[in-house]
Amino acid sequence: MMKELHLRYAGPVVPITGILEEYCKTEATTLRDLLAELDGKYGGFDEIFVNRKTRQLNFNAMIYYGEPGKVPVAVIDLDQPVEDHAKITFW
Amino acid sequence: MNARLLFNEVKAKTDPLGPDNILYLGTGPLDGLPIGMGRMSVACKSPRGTVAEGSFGGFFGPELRRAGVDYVAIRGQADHPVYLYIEDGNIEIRDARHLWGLLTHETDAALHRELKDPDIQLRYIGPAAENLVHASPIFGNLNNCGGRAGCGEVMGSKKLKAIAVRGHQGIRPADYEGFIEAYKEFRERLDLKTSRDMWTPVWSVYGAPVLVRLFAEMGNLMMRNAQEMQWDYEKATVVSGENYLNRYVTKAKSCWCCPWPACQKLHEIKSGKYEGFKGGNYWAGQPVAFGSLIDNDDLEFILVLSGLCNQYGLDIFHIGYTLSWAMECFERGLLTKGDTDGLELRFGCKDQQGLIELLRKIAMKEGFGQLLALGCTEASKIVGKGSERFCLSVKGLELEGIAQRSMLMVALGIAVSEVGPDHTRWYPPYPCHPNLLSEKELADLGIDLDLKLAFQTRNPKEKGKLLRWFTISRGVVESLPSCVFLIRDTLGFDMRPWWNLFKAATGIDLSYQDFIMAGERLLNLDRAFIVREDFRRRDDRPPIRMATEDVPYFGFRKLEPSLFDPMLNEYYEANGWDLETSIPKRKKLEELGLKDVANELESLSLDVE
Repeated sequence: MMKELHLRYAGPVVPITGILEEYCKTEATTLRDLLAELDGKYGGFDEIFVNRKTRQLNFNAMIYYGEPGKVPVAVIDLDQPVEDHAKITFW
Repeated sequence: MNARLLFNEVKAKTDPLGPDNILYLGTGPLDGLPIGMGRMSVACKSPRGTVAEGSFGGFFGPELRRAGVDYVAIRGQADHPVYLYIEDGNIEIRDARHLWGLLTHETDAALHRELKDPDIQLRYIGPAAENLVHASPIFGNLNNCGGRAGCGEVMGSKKLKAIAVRGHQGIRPADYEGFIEAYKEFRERLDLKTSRDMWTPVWSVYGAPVLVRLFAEMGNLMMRNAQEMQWDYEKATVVSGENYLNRYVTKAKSCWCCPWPACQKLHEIKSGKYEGFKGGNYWAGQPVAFGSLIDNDDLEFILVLSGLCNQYGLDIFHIGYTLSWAMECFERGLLTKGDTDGLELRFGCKDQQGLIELLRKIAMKEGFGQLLALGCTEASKIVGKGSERFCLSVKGLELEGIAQRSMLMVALGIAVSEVGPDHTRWYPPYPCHPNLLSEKELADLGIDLDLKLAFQTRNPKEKGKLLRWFTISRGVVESLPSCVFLIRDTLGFDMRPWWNLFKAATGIDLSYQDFIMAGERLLNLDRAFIVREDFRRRDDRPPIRMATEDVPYFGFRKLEPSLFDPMLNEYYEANGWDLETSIPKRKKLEELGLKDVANELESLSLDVE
C-alpha cells in the first residue's frame, strides 16, 4: 500500500540530502525498507544508519518516528513498521 | 583540586563578594598535552552561597602550564582595578584603571596591543561583572566564557579586570611511549566508523545548535518562559544550526590541538539592519535563551543579543530567563510600562532596539536594568504578586537550554546540582540505545545499572543511579581536564582510555577504582560545601512551574513529589547521603578518604552519622 511520509533531515544527514525536509510516497513497510529506498536516492544514506556487521541501527545515528497525533519516539528497531502520514526525523 | 581547595580554604559563611572568597583557576594533569586537552576550570564561592564552578575551552589552560603554573588562587581585594600578568613563573599585579569599563572584546584588543604579543592568552571580565551583575562569567578568546554561577562577579568584586599569561616551557608526559599507545586507543573512540557516540559526526561539523530542530521535535524547546513546549518546527528551522552554518558562519574555530574539526564557529551578519555585526559561538543555549523562550525567530536578532552578552560580559541564561520572566510578568500585568522605562516588554520581541538598550541597562545597572541585573529569583522577590511562580531557576540560578519534564534524569540533575542548573556536571542522556553497553561490559566496569530502564527518558526508575554515575564520571573528565565532546563514546561509562592517558601522563600508577573515585570525592566535597552553607534537600527541587504544570501536548507530567521524590531518594541513597537532609554520611566520606570533611561538618553541628 502506498504511504505518504513527511521526512526531516538533520545534522550530518543534510549534506547528503541537500534538503532539510520533504514529503515522499513509498511502498516501504518498515524503516529498514525505507532506508534502502532513500539510499537509492541519496547515496550513503543507508551506511549512516545501518551497521554493516549487525544490520541494526548504528550507535552514532538516530531516527525519530512520529505517527500522526503522537509524540515522536526514538527508534531502536529498524524493522518497525512505517505507517501512512508518519513524520520521521533522521539525525 | 578546586573542590578540595574550596572546601578547605573558603570557610563556612564567607562573604562571597568579600576579600576572603578565593577565585581558583586550575589546570589538570592532561592540560597542554597536544591531544585536545586544553580546558581549564574556575571555581569560587558563588554570590548565592553555592559552589561556583565552570570550565573553559580555548588556549589559556595550556599556556598557563607552559608558564610553569598549574594553579592560580586569588584572595583579597584590590583598592583599584588591576590585572595579573604571568610569564614563565613570574607573577605581577599591574594597574588596570585604563581597562576598567571596557567591553570584553575591547579589553582583549587593548591588552594585546599593550603587551605587544599576539600569542598572549587572556581571561577577562566585562562591565557586567565589574558592576557585580548576577551570574556574570569570565570571558576569554572573545567568545568563550566559563563560570556562569558568578565567577566573573567574584573577579569583579576583587577589582581584577584580567589575567594575562605567556609561557615558553614544554610539557612532556612522564611515560612518552605509554602515552602514545594510550592516545591510539583514545583516538579509536573518536573515529566515525567505530565511535558509539551519536554526537561524534554531528558535533564535529555543526556544534550544539544542531540540536534545535531535534529539540522542537522532542518537546524540548521551552517557549514563552516554558508556558508551552511546542515551538513551531518552522521557527526552529530558522534558528537551527543548519541554517546558521549555511548563512552566517565565516570561519570554524577549535580549541587547543583539538583532534576534531572545529565545533566552534565565527560568524558575521552580511546585510540588513545588523550588517557587519560579528560574533562567535552560537551554541545550543542561544536559540533557547534568545529564541523560543522569548518567542523570537529572528536568527540575526539572536546573534545580536548573544553577541552583546559576550561584549558586556553577561551570562546568556541569566538574561534569557530573566527577560522571559519579565515578559510574562508584563503580559500578566504584574509589570507595567511605568516599571520598564516605557518598554513594551512582550513575547515576540517587536521592539528590538528597546531590548538591545535594556541589555545595556542590565550590564550598567541603570533604570529597569537594575531589577533584571539581580536575576529572576531576586527580582521576583521584589516584584512579588506571585511572580516567583514564573521564575525558572534552581538555587537562585537560572535554568539552561535543556527542558526537564521531557527527560527525568535531566530534571533530577538540574535540581540537585551543587552549582545550580548546570548540565555540564553530567551527560544529557538524550535517547540512547539501551544496548549501548552489554551487561557483561557494565559488570566489568563495576557499574550496577539497568541500562534499558535508565535510558527510558520518562520512566523515573534508575534515574538516581544513572545521574550519580554520570556525575562521577563527568567529575573525572573535568579534573583531567578533557573536553566532554571527546569522551562521550560510551557516555563516560568506560573511562579506561582516559585512565591510561592519565597514568602515562603523570607516571602515577592509580587503580581504575581509585581513578573513578576522584569523581565521587569531588561530588561529595561539593555537597559538603553547600550543606555547610545551609543548602538541604528542600533546595534540590525543580522550579515551581515544572513541579506544578503538565505539558499536555507532549504528554509530559509535572514533576510533582510523587514523581520526583522517588528519584531524589534513589540518588541520595546511591550516594550514601541522608535522605532527609542530603548531608553526606561519615561512612561514605571516610570511604572516600574525607574523614576531615566529616569532622568539619560535625564540628558545625551537622549530623553525619
